[in-house]
Amino acid sequence: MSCPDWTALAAHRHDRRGVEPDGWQTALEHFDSCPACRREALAADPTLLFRRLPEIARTPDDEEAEVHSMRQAVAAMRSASRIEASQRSFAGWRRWAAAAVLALAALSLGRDGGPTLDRAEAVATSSVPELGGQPVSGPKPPLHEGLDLPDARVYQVDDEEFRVLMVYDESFETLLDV
Amino acid sequence: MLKLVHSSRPSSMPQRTPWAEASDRDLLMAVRDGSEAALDELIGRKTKPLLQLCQRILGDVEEARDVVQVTFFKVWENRHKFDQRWSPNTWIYRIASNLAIDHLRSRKSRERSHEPVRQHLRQILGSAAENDMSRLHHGEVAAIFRELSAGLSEKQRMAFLLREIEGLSSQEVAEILSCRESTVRNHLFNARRHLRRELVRRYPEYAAGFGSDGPEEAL
Repeated sequence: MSCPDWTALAAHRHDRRGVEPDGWQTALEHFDSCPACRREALAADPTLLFRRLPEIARTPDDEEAEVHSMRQAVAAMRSASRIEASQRSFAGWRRWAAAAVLALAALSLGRDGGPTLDRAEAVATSSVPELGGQPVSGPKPPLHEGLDLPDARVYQVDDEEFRVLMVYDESFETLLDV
Repeated sequence: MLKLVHSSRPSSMPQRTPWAEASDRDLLMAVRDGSEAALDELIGRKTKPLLQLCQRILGDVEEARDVVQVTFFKVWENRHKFDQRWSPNTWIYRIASNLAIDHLRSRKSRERSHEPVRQHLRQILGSAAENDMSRLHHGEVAAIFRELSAGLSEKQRMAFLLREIEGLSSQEVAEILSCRESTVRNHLFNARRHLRRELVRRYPEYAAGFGSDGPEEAL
């Protein structure tokens, strides 16, 4: 193929707002393989210089290693995403639990006319928790573990068939953080 | 950004996967159904072209790697959104391009002056025979492009690279950039005009068509 008329081709590209002239692709292929007319082509359209922007030239081994690293990195990102999603779900569960505590406290309020709440200091200093400001009468129930949580709150909800005791302290939040 | 700290070398012989013969579309459909093997095959096929594109956009291989990693991760996270009527390449390139554009935007504020690059290039080229094209290497062209393309908008730079360098059609570029073909042509026209003008202004020796020494090695 003879060398194309670069001046005419470039003028077309300069004037037609991005529309490429007929035969432009063929001319580019010619440009890549014909050193004889490169000077003229670059003078007509200097942006052809950027056809020499680097290509990634690696050995097959390097390419395989690159792909391998990429697979590992993507797999790690997917794992991290899964862990984050499960943490979000766990945080949701914690909010639900806190809401349940509040709901139970509200239920207790409605039933007794006031919260059955005390500070855990009582729990920590006494072997028997005092709830609602009144000592628990009768034989002392066994204490499995003492609490040294001065800001902890203890909620008690009594029903006909069962009694629920709940201990809440902000430090539990950190224990739940995975 | 998640960095890979350790990677063991793969075995020297690449293993063929069950997906080796599948088309890109079939691969993406399998990825959509949750196949991790299909994702691995997709990574095997697209890592090189995506790295090349992102390296050209960003001018930095490490940043390109980060963007490509996130691209594949986004492909996986958004796999349910892939519609089989779409071109797989266009969909993946679109994700990569958007990420690269975001990266460029976040980098703009910390972009330093390109003057040292220019001085370095002049030093290299000045020491060689005047206008000897054989001295102009790929990396130097990349440095010039990075310098000059800093004056382009992200979309102009993307349009120029995708159309002029990667050889995609105007329609494909329009789909990747989420705009009309006429807008792509506008971006191209403005990008070419800017690059041409700046090449002539800053590197007149190249814009004049270079010397004729060493034509075999030139370009």
